[in-house]
Amino acid sequence: MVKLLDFRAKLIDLYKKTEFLAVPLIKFAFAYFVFLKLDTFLDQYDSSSTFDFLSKTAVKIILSLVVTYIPDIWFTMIIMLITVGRVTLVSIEAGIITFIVLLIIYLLFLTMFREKAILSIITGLALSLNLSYVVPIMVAIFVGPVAIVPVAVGIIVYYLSGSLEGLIAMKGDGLVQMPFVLIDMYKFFISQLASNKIMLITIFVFAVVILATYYVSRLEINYAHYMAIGFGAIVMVFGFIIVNTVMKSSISIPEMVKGTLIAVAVAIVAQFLRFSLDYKKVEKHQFEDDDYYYYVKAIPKIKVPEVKKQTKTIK
Amino acid sequence: MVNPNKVRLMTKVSSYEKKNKKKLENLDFFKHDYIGFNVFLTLVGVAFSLLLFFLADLGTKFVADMQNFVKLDFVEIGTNYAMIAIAVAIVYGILSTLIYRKKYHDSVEVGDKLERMIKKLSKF
Repeated sequence: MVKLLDFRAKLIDLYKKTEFLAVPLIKFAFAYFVFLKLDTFLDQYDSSSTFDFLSKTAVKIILSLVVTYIPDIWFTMIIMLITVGRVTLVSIEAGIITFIVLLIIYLLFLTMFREKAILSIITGLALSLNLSYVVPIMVAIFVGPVAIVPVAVGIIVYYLSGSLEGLIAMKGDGLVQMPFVLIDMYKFFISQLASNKIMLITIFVFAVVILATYYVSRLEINYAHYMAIGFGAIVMVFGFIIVNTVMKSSISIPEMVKGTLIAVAVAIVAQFLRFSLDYKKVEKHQFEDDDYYYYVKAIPKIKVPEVKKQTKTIK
Repeated sequence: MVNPNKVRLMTKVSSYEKKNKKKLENLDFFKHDYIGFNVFLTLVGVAFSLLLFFLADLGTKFVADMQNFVKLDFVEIGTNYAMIAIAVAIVYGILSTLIYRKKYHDSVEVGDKLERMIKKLSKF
């Protein structure tokens, strides 16, 4: 344990020393990876590479550099613009529908959660990497219930992106047909949204996991954060099993259990790095002022004392 | 002579101010102005989104039966749209009020903490 704590202290020290460089570098790497994934995804629909410009590595690097220094909500908007731009050049009707859907999602859900918009991107990315089960437990501990909406938006956008192929296939002949094609696309989109059981189940279970994990982590019990991670994992496993059985969906349970175990491991490491408390040294105080009587429980954080190097002079 | 404690506190204040710049900017407004303005913006977005939905719904009705489109009961359709719009506006109004009230409250806490730090600094 001491070795672990020592390693943690060294890691934190290293982060503090290199923070000015590490934070932008992590942001840049994340943005570049997102653009790369988006590009790979859109390339499969844009077979003629009509919007080849955005596929160029130099453009992706420049965009990632820009994203490093702008607010997260602008990152979301850049992704929306790239998606709409590339889809429009393949099919104008599909581009219009994609633009309208993304605009509605932004106006209805993301305007109130501008600071948390990055969570939608993280959720979408995690889903594409089969790491989605990490998201609800981590956001419950580090962000709180306010993350439910951005996470749900990420899930909706990810699953709706699967409908893009069907949308692009619904091409019309000329401008006269356009309104009819648009209406057909709208109906297709709505049917996809309402019939996608996996998407609805994922949103529901993730929301429950976020709430459960958050509330357990706030309880006044020893090791509350670690217990919350365990409880969140149990809720996730049983939640998915129950809802999957009731709604007769096709979610792979072994995959989900494996993903949840990974989520628990990642969350425990993250929580350990965040802070570790020494429950053996709990202090309880009671005092009062003019307005209140206070019951305070203080738990000290574990800190590894710095080892001072001693120099011996041998004569 | 340089007071190391003062320098340390000044650095802390500066870093805290920079980290919470957005929240401190919210304090430029009175509480009700801040909440009211943001709720208004949210409702404008909601109204625009609903307008798009209603247009798409009308378009679907038009394509489904073009010849009898003019015979549709537009008063009933309009009433239904109005009911949906009012219900959604009420839900969003309440939710956004709660969210922006919490955001303003958080900003006030940040402002108070910064004030306490500055007071401490002024004692040097």
